[in-house]
Amino acid sequence: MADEKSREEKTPVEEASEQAEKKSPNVIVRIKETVLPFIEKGKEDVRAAQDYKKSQVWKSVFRHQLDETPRNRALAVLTNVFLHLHPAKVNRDAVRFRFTWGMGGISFYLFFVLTITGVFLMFYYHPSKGQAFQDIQFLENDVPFGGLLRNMHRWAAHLMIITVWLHMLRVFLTGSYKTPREFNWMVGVILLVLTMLLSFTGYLLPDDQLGFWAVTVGTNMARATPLLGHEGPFGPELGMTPFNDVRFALLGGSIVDANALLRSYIWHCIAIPLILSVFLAVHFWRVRKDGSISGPSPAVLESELKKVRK
Amino acid sequence: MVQRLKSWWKSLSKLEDQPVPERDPIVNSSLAIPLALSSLLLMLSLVWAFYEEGWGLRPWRVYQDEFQELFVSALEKKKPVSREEEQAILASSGYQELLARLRQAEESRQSDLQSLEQQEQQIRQRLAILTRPFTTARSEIQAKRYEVETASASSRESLARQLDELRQRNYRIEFPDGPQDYTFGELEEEFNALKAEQGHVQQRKVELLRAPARLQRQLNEYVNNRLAGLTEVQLDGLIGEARGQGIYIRQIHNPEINLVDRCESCHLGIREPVTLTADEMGGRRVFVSHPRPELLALHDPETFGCSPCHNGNGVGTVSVTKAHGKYKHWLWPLFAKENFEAGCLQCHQNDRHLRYADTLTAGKDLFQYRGCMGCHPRDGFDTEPRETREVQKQITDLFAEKQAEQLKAERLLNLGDRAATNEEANQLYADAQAVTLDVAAIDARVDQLRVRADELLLEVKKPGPNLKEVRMKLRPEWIPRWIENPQAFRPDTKMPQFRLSPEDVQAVSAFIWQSGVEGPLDRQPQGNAERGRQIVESRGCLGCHSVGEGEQQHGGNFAANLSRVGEKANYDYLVRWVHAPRRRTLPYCPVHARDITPEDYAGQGLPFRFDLEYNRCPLGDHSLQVQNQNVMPSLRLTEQEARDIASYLMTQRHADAQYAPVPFIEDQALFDRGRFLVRHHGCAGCHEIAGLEDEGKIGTDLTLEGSKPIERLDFALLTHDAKKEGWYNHKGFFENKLRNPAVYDQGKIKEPLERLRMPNFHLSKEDIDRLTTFLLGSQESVVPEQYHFNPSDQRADVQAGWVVVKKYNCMGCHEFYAGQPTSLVDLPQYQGDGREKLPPNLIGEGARVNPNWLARFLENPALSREDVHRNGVRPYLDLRMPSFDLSAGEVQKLVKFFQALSRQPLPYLPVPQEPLTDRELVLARGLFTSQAAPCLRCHATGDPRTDQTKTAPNFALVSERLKPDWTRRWIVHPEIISPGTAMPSGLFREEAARWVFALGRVPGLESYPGDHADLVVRYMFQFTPQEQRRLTGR
Amino acid sequence: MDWAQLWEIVSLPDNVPIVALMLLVPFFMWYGLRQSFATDRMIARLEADSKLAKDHHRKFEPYRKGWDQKVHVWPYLLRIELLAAVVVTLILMVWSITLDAPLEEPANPNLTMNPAKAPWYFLGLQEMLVYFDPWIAGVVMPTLIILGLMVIPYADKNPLGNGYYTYKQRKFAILAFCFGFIVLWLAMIFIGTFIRGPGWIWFWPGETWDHHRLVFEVNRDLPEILGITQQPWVGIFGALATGLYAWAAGWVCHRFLVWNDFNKEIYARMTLTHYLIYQFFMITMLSLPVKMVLRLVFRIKYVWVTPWFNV
Repeated sequence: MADEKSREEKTPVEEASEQAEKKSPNVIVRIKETVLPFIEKGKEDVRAAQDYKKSQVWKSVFRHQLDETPRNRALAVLTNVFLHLHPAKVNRDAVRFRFTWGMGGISFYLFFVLTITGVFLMFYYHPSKGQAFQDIQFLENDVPFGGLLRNMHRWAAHLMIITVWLHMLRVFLTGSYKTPREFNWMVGVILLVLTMLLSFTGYLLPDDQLGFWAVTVGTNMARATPLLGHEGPFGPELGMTPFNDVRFALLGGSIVDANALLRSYIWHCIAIPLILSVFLAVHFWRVRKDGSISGPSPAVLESELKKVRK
Repeated sequence: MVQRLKSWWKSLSKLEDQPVPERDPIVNSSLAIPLALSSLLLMLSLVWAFYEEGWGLRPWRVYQDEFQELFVSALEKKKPVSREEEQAILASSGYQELLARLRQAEESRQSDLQSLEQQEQQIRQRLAILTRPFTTARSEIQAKRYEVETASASSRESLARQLDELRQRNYRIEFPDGPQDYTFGELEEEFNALKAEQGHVQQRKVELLRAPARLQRQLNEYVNNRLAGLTEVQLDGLIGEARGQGIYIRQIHNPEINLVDRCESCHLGIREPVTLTADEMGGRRVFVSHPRPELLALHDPETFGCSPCHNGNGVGTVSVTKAHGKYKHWLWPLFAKENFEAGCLQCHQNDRHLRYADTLTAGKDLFQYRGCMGCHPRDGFDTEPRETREVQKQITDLFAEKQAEQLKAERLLNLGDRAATNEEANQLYADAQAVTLDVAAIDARVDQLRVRADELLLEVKKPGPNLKEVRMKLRPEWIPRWIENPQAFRPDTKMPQFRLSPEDVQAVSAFIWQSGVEGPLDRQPQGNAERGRQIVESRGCLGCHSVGEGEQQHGGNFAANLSRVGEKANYDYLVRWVHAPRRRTLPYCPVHARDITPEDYAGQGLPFRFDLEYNRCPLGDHSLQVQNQNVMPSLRLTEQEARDIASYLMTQRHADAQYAPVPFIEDQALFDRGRFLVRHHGCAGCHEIAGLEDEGKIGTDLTLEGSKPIERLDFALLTHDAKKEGWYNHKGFFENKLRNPAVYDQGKIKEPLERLRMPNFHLSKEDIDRLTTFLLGSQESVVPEQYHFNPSDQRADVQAGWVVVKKYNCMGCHEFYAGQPTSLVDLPQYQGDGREKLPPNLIGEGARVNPNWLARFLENPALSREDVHRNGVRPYLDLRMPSFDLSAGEVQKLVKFFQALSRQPLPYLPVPQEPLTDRELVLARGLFTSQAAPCLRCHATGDPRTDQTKTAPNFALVSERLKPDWTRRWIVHPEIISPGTAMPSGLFREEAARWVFALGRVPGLESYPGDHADLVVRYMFQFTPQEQRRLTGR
Repeated sequence: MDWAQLWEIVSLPDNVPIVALMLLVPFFMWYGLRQSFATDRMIARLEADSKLAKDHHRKFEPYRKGWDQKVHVWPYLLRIELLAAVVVTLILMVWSITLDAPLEEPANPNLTMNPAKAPWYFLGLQEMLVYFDPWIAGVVMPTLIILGLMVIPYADKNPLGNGYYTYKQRKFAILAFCFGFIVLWLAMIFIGTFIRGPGWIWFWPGETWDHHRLVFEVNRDLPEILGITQQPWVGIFGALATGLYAWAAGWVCHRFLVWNDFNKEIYARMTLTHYLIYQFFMITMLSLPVKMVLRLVFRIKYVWVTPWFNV
């Protein structure tokens, strides 16, 4: 009660000054006490930084030394989620470009490029009639590096088809589809088809004459699907019309229009990439399991061939 | 070296024989170099990409840099000029005077202002000191109050007490003039008081400064209103702005029409408030300002953008080609310089005459006058036939409906008779009643349509003459010559050249000749050729026709050149033609689709007479076509004048002209072939031909030709060349087609009848550009309806009016807007004093004349049924306003047109004139007839004896013809209304807010208090026949 | 020779990949076969000299005792993969900077492009439409191609040449595959891209693609030519003719199968299923060139005409 009174008489300013007077004599000492230990700690840091390889962070990231020992080389692959698709060691001649042509790897790399450019493109694109075409216009004229982005996506797509074909050619020439890799060859064929479908579904998206007619021509073939197309053998007999046949299902309509645009967009950006990635995983897994990059395995002589008795 | 290559090749071919190296190549080889190299290249490619992003694909950046410099320097150059101008204005007395007043005002207020400012200063000081403590205290108290309000009953007491204590606490404020103590209440008062006072002082200051501010404004306006360009200050402002401008895409965006235009990212000068020529901008045409700012003022770029008018790809910014849309895949490439007016059609489809778009309008003229519309349907051209068909159809439909209704009525009545109860019966009778009323309504509607149908019979015109009368009109030998190559006979004729074999020419001639009708044609005595010539030169024929050849050719080009009529025409017919151009030999019945002969009339026991009154078909209750379908009007000539003119025209011939006899022309065998050819080539599109009156148009519809997909334009075998030579586009197609309509048959093997039919019009380069512009513009509009110019107010009347004006070539003689050329003004006889002989210009006609009178005048310019060989209004003019036999509808359109042009309301309700008192009458007459007043020297009074000498309109007409307010303005200030008129100015002078007669004294007039001009006007508007006799009876 | 036209086609952005393909495929064929022949020569030597065969490392690649059979992926493989990635990126960058992806007029269903072409990698199928009805060219064939590719590992009973380049040991397989891939698939694409002009008419390279060009072609059905006109005979004849072809083709393929002792060896390893699958796909594949010849040379449209489908 009493000091309440006293506060009443003093203005806040006065009070503050009083407080200060109380503290003032030993301020310097206090500061020293608090600051010095920190300086010590700082010195520790500097010492630690000098051999950073011992630091906790470094160890947590790199699980092994980097000096050129076989062990480290193996670890470099084994401890890396991206690299462990590879075995630690491969057939000495498999690293020759002239044997593998590197087409499989390049195809995958292109798929990777396409995914990235594709995602960026999706930021600037609306799959709706009219808007779609304008978006491409704006992509070329406004978006920084928009033109480059689009070109890269398109050309990478074309290139990927070529590399995939060449990959298939190589695998055939080295007979790498033979036991035990038969199944992986099948997976490869599926990937080949998916690749072409990816490119095809992307064709319509700019919504220009080129894509429109390409897709029209492409899908018109579906009319003639036996049994399922309204122009195919036994299609009409089974009650197929332009409005319920397989082509209708593909385009979401009897003509290439807004729905077709949306469908190809979704196939192109979500469905097929997902499916493809799954098969990709299988493909790689099999490559790895079937002894990584095939051969070149030692040639077998005809004379060594066991005769089958009949 | 060779060894090297050998071994290399060996290694290529025979891999297994490669020497085995000592050390393992796989483990010991290094990829460092290729890796480094490729990485380096990758880096470079990145740099390249950045360059493309920054400049390569963003040319506008470069443009904007360049522009800034050029623009600034251009402005700098302008500065001295505007400085001089400005100096001159600043020196002018008007400015100085204003300036003086401003200074004076400022000085007078100086002292008061200072004292006020001191006061304000003090107040501000006190407030500065007071505010802080006051607000602190206030917030403390408010907080406390809130605590009290929300406190629980127990603690409320003590808190309330604290609140009071706060209220009572003493606040000491240290003012410069010693401290002062306040309680919170006082503090608050003091604070508010100061605030109030401050506001008060400021208020007074503003009032004090109001007058000087107004003067300052006036001063600035004075300069701006008198300066042609911008002031130096404004220029400096612009320069500053330009310097400050960043580099970015200039964009116009109008979501309503889905428009995005970046044109101004390069064309930066377009909208600058100064005119920038290419020279000023270092010869860079891209930077000039818009050549037609007035157009931009009409079409705000923020709304309309650029591309809707100019085409091109407004979004494009990566390259000039892309932006201008000059590449294969852009559907709307930029219009070429000579065609840019094509863009106007986006919105101005319905403007037959479009200001600022001379090329386009000229193109439309050609399309109409050269007869393109004879074969090609095109919205807005040659609409009458279609409308006729529609009207006929409506009539027949309505008839059907009527019969149905009548039957229904009967049925209802019967039902009513047989109805069970009374109510039912009454109900049914009532219904029947209603239906019969409907029938009456239908009748009314039908009558209206009938009227319209008759009008249309008058309105429908054909570009070419009526070929039914060739037998009476032409010499047979001439016909094949003409058909074979019209231009050879008459270079500038509108008749095009068809590609016909000699046999075809014979067949066509024969058919034309044999399909012609015979009729009574009285022999005409010879007239006086010399007088004929004078009449042709003076009576107004030259408004449309031209005479003389080559250098000598003069007159209008709307209608035929008359220089060789003598070689083709038959004198007797020519007389009849000149005298009554619309007169037919036989009337044509649209319903029976044939000419009605005297026998038909006789068969019905009717006299063989047909004209605008007697126009019903003897064979049924419908109207006849009683006129030739040509626009040539009647000049209301006497028989004798007609003979003179005809005789003169017969002298117009090449003495050496030879014509071979044409025996085949009567050959019946050729008839069918000829008829077929005539139909095949669509002659009936422009000519009236017996049996082919209802032929349709044979050409393609051109309404949307400009937006036809290029693939649909048949370049035939020229496609490849066109692509190589870069004219594979609409412009190229049209131009080549117009230059040589057969061009796309080149190299193709076709049967004569399969060949392209379009004849050759031998168009000049200019005309081709005009038509191309018109065709290019004929597009599917890219802007929505509401942007199109389809006004619902008077401007619609203007649009409708122009169609009629163009149809009858009124502009051949009359001036409708300042600076409009006519066919007459340049003729030698109308130079100097000759100007007086020119027809009146019609600028402001709507404000001048009483629309009701105007309608009467247009129906009959003679303004009289008996005495027709004269002008109704200006008998003194040799030129004669012809009778066009306009339909009532067309008259209406014209009247509305003139009223709309001068923004006059319709219907016109004249202001009643307050009647003249006897005294006023005397005064007015005195003034009117006094020697001082020159009125009667020029103006006719309707007195045959004196009127020959008069050279100005007749007073007797004033009251019905003119509008009083205009008349008053006219007599006071004629030179304003019609510069260079013979009507003298300064008849009146202003004196104490009234106009008084200025030329000499008129007895008794000085004492008249009223306005003299008013007096005269009222006199004229109450001008009675007796008065007229009194005037002329002297 | 219309060079402008040729350039117009070749330089069409979307045709650039095909041009690339036309260069890459021959190169890699040579690149691969060259190694095959090397192996073959080596094998020949080993077959001759059994002693050498014992301790030879069985590859034509140079090798010395003591060099390790396997090498570390890091760095020996990864560095190459890195290099490949960099080079590919570089190629893409340059390609994308210098050549713009095509963007034509806005889609317009009322204005048909002439010629309207599918994406280049499907042009083979579109070209097939000339020779077969859509339901075969557009649906059956693609399905069979995919299935055919899938069954290769199972139909090919040749145990040799597993994982190394060789020609001698797999003559037939390689010939068959190259025939399918290069002659049928790629050649068709080439035709579809460079040869087929407006109206899908045959233009030799360098001929002007004239939209107004008209060619006179009567394509008649085989039975018609032989004067068989009314059903069911037409159908029956067709069935017979087709059957005949199948038999003939089958016979040819069989001859290949038993060409020499080695082939016989492989043949011996086949079960009936293997054999039938092999025959089925070979016969179908051969039907394409046969039909092409019939169509292009003899102007025959259909062989087998029935009310429901035509072949």
